[in-house]
Amino acid sequence: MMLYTCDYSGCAVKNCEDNGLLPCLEGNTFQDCEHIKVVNIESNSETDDEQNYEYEEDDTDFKSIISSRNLIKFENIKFFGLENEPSIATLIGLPNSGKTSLLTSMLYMLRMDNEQNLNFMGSSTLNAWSNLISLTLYAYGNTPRHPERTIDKPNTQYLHLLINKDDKPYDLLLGDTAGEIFSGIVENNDIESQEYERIKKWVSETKTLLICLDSSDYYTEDIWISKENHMIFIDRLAEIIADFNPEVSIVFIQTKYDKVDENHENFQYHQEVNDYFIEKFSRNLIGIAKTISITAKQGVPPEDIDKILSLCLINTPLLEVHSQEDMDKNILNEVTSIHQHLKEWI
Amino acid sequence: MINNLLIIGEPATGKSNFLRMLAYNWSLKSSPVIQTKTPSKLLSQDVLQGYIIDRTQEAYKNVQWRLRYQGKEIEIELPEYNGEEFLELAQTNEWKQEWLERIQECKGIILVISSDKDNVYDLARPAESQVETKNNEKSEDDKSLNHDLDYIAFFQQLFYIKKISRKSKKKLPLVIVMNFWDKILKEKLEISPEQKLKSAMPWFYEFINTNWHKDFLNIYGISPLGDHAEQLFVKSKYPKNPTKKALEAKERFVKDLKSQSWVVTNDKPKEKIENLSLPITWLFEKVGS
Repeated sequence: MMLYTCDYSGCAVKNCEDNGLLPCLEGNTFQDCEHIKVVNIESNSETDDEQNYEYEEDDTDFKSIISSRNLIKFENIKFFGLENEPSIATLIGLPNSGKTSLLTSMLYMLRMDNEQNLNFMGSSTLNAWSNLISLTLYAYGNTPRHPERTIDKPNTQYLHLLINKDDKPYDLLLGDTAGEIFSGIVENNDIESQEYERIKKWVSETKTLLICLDSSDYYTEDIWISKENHMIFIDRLAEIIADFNPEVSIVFIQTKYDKVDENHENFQYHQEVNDYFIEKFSRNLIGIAKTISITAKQGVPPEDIDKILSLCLINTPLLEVHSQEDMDKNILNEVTSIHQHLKEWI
Repeated sequence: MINNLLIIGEPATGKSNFLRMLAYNWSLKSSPVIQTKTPSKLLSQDVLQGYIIDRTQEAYKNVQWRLRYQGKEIEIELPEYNGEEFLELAQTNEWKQEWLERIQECKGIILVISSDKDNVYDLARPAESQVETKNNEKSEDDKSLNHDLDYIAFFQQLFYIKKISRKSKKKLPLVIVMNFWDKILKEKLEISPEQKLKSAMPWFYEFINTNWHKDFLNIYGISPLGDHAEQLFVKSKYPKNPTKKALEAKERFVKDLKSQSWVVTNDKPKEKIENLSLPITWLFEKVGS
């Protein structure tokens, strides 16, 4: 199946099939549009690295999932939760709000001394991490460490980390969304749309939403990242959360916060959006974090990343070795045999 | 009871020369380690004649090195597989039956890493002097991160095969030897073996440190061939007209062979301890404890 997507953030053509009826805001025919790109999800034209970034094949069993190096499908997260619920956190935000940079910073933070005593203990998605970091480094454009745009995929898929905090282990699954699906619902609040369906799925599956707002964006005159559009984004997101996952925890992340300092005259806009966000999500909000633009502050350790990771983990019970009796109670019948096979390793 | 140990390492990390020098040292009367069965490969006279051992070309199976140390019977499953095999293992989840058995039976691991390895281009680090990233071309450095990952993947797979809980502190004795430490001292680098591992493989270092119980992990710097190593040649490649430096190195090396090898610890990374057995005897003491 050939899918097509439009690079222009305001265009509704996102991962659509060529059925001859594709809309184009520019009024172009589909073939003439200069922004259109093919997203060929089933071709073999991808490089090896790109293939590795894809999730595992459909016929995977628990063993290959648990020792896999590639992205984890949502339905396979259960294998990490045979004894304890794993933590699931999903990064969401408008395009270029720093979601993917935040992910790579998380990985980096786990290798550094940090206030939250978090350490990297392993990952079942090593290749996916490697490819994510490679894409970050060698992305288009001249600025170092500026990630490539995250491509929206039909299925949700997650990166995995095993994190040690204060000598206790936690499984954390991290979802990275494509910003374009959120700009899609700002432009067109159609509950039948592909973007709406994608967001609904991400929001429904997660336990913690890491909502990123680019602190430097509110002041620009670009209609797509204006204060008003940020507020529309907040409104639409609040509606989806209320409908599909009202108990989800939310961490509000003000990304590129260092750039606020350079825009004192517009600080009020920043404050207005932030206040609006906090008012809208006060019931679900478990933390607020500010991260700097690592592109701008090269060499400076990313701030608050360990705090964000810790907030993701507090929603998860500890991974502890239970008594056999306790385990038997917790384990669902359908996975008993799997657990039997994996119990020493888990 | 026999305790099986496994020696692993990439190609060109100096495993063969390390083992030959251990075999030589353990054949001396004063050795606390006694060889009860020594594979013929380790009895090569090349080292005694002042030559270094060439790259291992072949894999051979079922070669066991039987030792006795403080009343404990030790068997080292000889690793004279070529180093590429380790890399292959690290890059796949499908391991051959013989490797599965080796891993299941091993009670301790010796991991040999080259100190000569350049520091990785730490891709997950916010850029400091990474101005070259403005070029969008991938460089050789790109492999470094994957390399780091391969080691992690290998050990994760090992946990699975040995049914070691991925979330527990590991008590499988592991000694990491940073080989070619003579080069570090020659360059007058103020660095310990542990720091060197951290700078060369930061992600793997973090993984090991977080996963292992501290009593079951140790890191040493070693120089099996000592300070003359760089001037020594493989026998088959020994020049017809060797330089004065090469002649002198060979002569000095052979003259006092038993004191050539040395080890450094993390506490005193500049102090050469003329006891190549130190990392191995540490492991022997941990095995079965």
